[in-house]
Amino acid sequence: MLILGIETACDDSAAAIVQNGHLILSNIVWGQKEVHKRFGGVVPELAARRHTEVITHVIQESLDQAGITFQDIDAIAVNSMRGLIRSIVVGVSSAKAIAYTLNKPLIGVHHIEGHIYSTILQYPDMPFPFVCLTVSGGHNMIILVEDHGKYQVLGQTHDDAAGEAFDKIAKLLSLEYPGGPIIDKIAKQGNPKAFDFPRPMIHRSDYDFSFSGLKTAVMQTVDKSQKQNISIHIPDLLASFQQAVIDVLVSKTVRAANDTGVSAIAVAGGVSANSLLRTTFTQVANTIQKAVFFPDISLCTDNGAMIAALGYYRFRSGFTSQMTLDAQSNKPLESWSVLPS
Amino acid sequence: MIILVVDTSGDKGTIAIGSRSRIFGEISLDMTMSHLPKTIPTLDYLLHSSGMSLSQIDILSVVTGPGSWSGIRIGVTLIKSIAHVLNKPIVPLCSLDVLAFHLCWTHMPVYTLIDAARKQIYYAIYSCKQNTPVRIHEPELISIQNFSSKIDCPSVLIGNGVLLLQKHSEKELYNNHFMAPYYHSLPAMLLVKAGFYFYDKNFSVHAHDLIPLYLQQSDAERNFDIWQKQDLKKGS
Repeated sequence: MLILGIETACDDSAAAIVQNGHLILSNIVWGQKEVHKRFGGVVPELAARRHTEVITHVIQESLDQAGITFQDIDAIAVNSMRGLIRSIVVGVSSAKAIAYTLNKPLIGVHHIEGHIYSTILQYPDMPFPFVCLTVSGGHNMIILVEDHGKYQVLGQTHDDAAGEAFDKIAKLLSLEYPGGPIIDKIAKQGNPKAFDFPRPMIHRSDYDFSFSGLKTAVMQTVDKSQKQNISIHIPDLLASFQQAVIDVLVSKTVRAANDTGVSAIAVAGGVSANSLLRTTFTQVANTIQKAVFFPDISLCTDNGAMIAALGYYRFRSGFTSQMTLDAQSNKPLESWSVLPS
Repeated sequence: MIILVVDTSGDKGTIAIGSRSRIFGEISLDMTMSHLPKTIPTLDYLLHSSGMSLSQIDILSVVTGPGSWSGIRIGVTLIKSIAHVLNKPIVPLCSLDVLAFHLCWTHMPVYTLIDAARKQIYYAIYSCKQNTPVRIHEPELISIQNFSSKIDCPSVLIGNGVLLLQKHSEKELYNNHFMAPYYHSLPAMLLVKAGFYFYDKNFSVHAHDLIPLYLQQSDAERNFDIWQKQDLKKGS
């Protein structure tokens, strides 16, 4: 079964063809970094404008690379439930028009669930249940994944997502957008113990996050040094900031895994591409004897393959969307019925 | 030859199917904040009830703006995706042009005006002395305050921008010009007529090349420009 997956949650226009939920035939992402660069962050209206311009190109490339035509597609899956509303509208419009014209099933899915499925896509035999940390510029959750489509949200951020904190710190220091990859790179040259930044909510018994205070602490450090005319060693600052974020993410996720008694941890979303986060998780998981799964780097940021993979399992459970499907920017993550045995 | 035209550039959405000589079907309904859930089901209903299928359509056409940004993106993306799958040409329509088709055989200059929010209007000027309008001023965004300076002879004004002028501009403008009856949407008949007219003029494009006509910067760009100008001033 071939599914076309379309994802336009934020500033990536993405389309992919995935066979039977695990074999990626193509995974095309057209980024918009150049459009948003001068603003130091994503401008929703400009993101939507760009999606509209490129959407058919991206879809055509996904078909070409997979070596198929529209007629070969069995169903169309699209993120319709989470992201920048103006951006999602474009992906949903396109998916609906294609599904309607081809008279093929339309499957509206949830962006964050898509990130969970970026791991299942790559490791179809992953053992349930597992704990999944989803972490990007737009979301930051710890989810107990009991089975296909069966979730318990254990925790989420009260304010900024971790990726958002990376972006804002990068903007403050006039580094490029998005902030994650560049901070990851510069932090490698710095001392993570140089600055003692707070680890927000690390000792609280719940699994929630808050990164706004940490971001403010970094900003205040920069501000203070500028006022006192003291130069700051940027790699040290970034290494310390990154370490604080990672300490919180790892500690809370590992605690959730221990408390729920699962044997596996999955880490998904844009920030899961961070090299120190990967190393730390791998080390810690090793000591507590739990398996840890990361999607391939190409599946960490927004992509159509995860949407197509999720669409496959959703379709197999008997679900399809109506042509009245609308775009929603922040629908809560909900469980759906498990696969028929 | 059969054309399918979609207009989602305003609160009222219109879908029409027609040939050069007749309209096979048309639906206009309020789509305020609901262009996305309503357009395809409406199109489906129209096709079914007029006994047609998408495969019978030769030309696709869509209003690309100016108008509601999100509404336009929905119409444009729907039509370009259908055209992409079916490999059919698309005729992009400018909402201001379509309005001018209302007033063919008018001997005065015709101004078409669409509300652009923030006390601004999109407008264009046409010579409509014959069966089809001819643009004599390209579509532009202007503040209501500056609009009166753009009219130098008795003219006919049409479009929902007229309502805005009524509210905000001086009476003089009103006394010297003719306000056409207020049309709040682009009627199916004119959409089909304009669609064929621009198709015949070879204005059709491939799905990949269809883009909306915005005429207005996003807030972020506008603020960025203002901020840069201030910065330049400070520096000089």
